[in-house]
Amino acid sequence: MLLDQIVLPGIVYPALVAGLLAIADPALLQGDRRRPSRTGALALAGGYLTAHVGLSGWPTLPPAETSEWLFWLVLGTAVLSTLLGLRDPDGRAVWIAWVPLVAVLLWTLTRPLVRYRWSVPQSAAWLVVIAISVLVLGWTLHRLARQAPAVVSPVVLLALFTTVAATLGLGASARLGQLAGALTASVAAGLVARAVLRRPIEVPGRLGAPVAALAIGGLVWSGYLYAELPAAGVAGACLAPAAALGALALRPLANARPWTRVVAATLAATVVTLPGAILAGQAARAAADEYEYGALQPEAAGYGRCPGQVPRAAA
Amino acid sequence: MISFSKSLRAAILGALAVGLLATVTAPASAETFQIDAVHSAVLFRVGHFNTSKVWGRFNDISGTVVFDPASPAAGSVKLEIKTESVDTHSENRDRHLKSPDFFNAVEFPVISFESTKIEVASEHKYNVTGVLNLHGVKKTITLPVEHTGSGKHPRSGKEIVGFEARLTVKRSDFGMNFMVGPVTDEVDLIIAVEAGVN
Repeated sequence: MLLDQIVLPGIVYPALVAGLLAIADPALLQGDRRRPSRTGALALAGGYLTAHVGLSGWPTLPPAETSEWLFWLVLGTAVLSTLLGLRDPDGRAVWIAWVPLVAVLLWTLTRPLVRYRWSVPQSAAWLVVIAISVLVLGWTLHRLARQAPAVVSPVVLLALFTTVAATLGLGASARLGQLAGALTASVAAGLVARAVLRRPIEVPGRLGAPVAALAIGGLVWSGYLYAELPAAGVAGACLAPAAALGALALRPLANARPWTRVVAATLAATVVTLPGAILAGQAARAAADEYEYGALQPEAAGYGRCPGQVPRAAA
Repeated sequence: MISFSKSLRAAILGALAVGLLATVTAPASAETFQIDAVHSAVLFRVGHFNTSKVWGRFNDISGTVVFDPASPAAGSVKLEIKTESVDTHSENRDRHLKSPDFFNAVEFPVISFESTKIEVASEHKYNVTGVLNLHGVKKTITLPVEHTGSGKHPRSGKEIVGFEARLTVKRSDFGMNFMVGPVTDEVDLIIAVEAGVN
């Protein structure tokens, strides 16, 4: 079960697809060692979409669920970023094209709540809050990719995606957590490809920052609005890149060694996301005694053991 | 005193006779019945870890049944179930079932079925075809429905009818793919409905 349901579709396949797309840049393949890769957006999106198909199947058309809308939005953003990035490698033009996609994300995230639960003032307030959070996330991810390219930005994102995956998995929905985990696997695949091939491969890189912002923003807000992700989990995810930027702006770190900057930025991002993970972990622990494994005593029943269960004597 | 006793007895016997007749007599023409949530149930069961069958139910059911035993094909069924009312005797499991891993109850607050065609299969048995809207996916399915009885409610005197359907659906057909395998794809359903004329 662990291999079929979690490891292969949620980690291995996304990492393979992301790794292949990351090195599929024609310039990189021709041996250009200076220019950063331009397939970072496709690599991150490829990993995410592979996980979605592996875990939930192909999304329906028209999409029914928010996660299915997110599938198409991530794909659209990645294609748009890559195409616009051919003329504008800095990725600024991408952001103009990205704003309408954020508007679609807002609509898909809030549609059922606006219809069934929220009053008009509540809807307006929530739309503003969600829009600001996703835009802040996008802007700070872009700044991070520009100011701290190469290894800093991917390592910070690696930490961010990992914490978000754990927070979502513990506090909201295993499926949302697995999708965030696929983002971790994709970024990790990019780092491995960079180390092995010694080429300037960046996943997600500048062009992939809008994809990362849309995916992580969509996932954490889905977890908050449709499951039970603590508010601290959403706030932490949206503010983590800003925290990393803040750490990098500190005077002692401005001229520090690269790995010192990596560690400082990653620590800052992790500190911001940890409260949400702790709260989600506490809630999951409190629930575990009743749901699934805690109440069952397979030793007494004598017919097998629940996957993942630790025998009480050993716990 | 004696005559009063006789007339009382006659009245009681008469009322009993009328009541008895009413309980065995089906409604004469198509009536619209409101589903009585207290005497109705939507039960489901799924296989768990290839070991057992786990049961659950939905507590909030509503809808209407239009039924004429003389012309069942002219009838119709509308059923609405509040997703939020899922109940598996474990609060935490219910929360998980309401999450995006399964029913996604906030995004899809209602599960509905609306009939499009009713065919007579045999005596008191019908094939009710209609659209099941579950988890945002609409699919046409056919419910094998048994008419379990008709009569009059003993207190209100209003006409009531009962139906039961048993079927199996694949949750993956409705985009609910989480943990298919450890939790079976096939979900057995029992829909038992009592409905009365308002």
